[in-house]
Amino acid sequence: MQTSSFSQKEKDLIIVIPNLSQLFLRCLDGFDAIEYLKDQAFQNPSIFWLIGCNEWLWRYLNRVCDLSAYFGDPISLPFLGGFELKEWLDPVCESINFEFTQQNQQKAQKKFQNNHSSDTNQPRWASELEQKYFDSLANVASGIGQSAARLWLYSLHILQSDENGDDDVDESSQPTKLVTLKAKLPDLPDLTQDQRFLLYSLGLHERMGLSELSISLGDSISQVRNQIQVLLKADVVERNHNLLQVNPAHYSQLQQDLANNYFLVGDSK
Amino acid sequence: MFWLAQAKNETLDKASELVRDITTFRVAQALIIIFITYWVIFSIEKLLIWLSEKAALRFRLTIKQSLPFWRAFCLTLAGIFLGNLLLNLSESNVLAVTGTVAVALGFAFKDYASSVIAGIIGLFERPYQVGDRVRVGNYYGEIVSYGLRGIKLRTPTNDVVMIPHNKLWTEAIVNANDGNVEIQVVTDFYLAHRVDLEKVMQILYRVAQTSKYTQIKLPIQVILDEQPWGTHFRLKCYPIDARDEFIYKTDLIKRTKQALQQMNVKYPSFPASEFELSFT
Repeated sequence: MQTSSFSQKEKDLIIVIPNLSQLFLRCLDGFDAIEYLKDQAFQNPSIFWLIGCNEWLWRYLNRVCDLSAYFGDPISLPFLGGFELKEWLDPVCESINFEFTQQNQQKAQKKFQNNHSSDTNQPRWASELEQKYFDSLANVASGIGQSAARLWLYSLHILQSDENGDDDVDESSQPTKLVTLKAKLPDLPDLTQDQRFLLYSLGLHERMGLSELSISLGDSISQVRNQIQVLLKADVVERNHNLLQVNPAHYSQLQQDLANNYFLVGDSK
Repeated sequence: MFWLAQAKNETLDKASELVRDITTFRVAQALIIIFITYWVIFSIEKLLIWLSEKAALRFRLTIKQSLPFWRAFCLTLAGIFLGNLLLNLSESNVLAVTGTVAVALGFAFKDYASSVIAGIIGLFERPYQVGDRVRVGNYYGEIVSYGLRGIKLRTPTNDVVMIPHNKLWTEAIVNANDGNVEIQVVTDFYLAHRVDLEKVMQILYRVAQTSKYTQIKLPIQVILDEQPWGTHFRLKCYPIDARDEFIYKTDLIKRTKQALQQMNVKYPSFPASEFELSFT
């Protein structure tokens, strides 16, 4: 999410804050930087602010600190479609060899060639399987890049090639191939209310350490650690260099769950 | 006394006309109907409570609030079946007996009948529903069950209190959330007259805004009141889930007191003379 408040002509200086969540901690003294930003925005109207933050945080801070009054209405990044995802993931995809799989592969390919033979304006897909795969990926990931990347990774599978049907061949010597199965969301486990509080807090700050998380929740570190351990095992939360974050593959389901439980996370679908 | 005895004899005569021949088969059928009704009500209750706990918060109360309806529906259905099975319900029989039976019931089960009628009226007027947090007399808690005769309240100390519906006729019922998930929590703080009001109010707002339990969509307010011995701060805010009312209040008090302690905020102190006066 980006915010802009002034027209291009008035800009003398552009300040870019890549991630607003790094300037804030949901605790009593955690708003100093936000208040400073508001103060600066008020005193220096010629500054153009480019601020990145997620929708949950923007809604929360807008409610608590009335950010829209200083930085204008937010502009949401567009959802990524199938072709955008393909272009984004292409460098990674090209570095590994994999195939798109579908049951009626030949039939689907023939149909795809008939449909695309005359139309030159359409995005260039290598095959219908590729198009179907990425469209489905974009749909499942709700157009969110991080979710799509994670779901793409989850959809990769190794298949043992057994086309010859020769049972005597040693398994280790059989050629293997990497294939993508249809992208699907992993199941979000049933969450308790305490887990929702934790995940919402983690979502607000995007990624944070255990001690900061415990301050944000107002609970002791040992309490939070117990909950985190359960969520780590369930793969809902992941740890990267001692920083915790919500597994991007669960974003859309978690957003839906929190919205259904009256958390301020945005529009539920 | 003579009138009562005469009424009793007439009722017995007409009752014998009303009641069909009681056979073992009919008794067995009636018992089966009663058993099935009990089992269905029990199952529906368990299922709805399980569903409401599993469902998202926005659907919880809706599911729970349908419980009295299903109970009344099952009981009415069972009553109709049993009536057809055991009673000879011709127009003249019903008219003749109901009046007298009503008088007899009125004497014997006055309070019970009053509670049942209040319960039925309560289904339509909805002064309280399952999941609401109500105060009746000295008792406050969440309604966990809406029965034929009364409601069951779960108090903050986890006691379950049975309150008959006929309290509706005589007592004021305070309903804190009236069918909504949100409930306003009011937390009182008493500080000395000389405290920095701006700072204390800012702390109170921030404490509410940063509590994990707070429903941030709803307004947060700090109200001041002046007392002879100090300043009364009243923090009004809402938890996301009404069930967190008490833990929410605890969280607000704990974090406010920590912040006030860091600021060395003074609490009201009573002059020794006032204490002496109050003890004499």
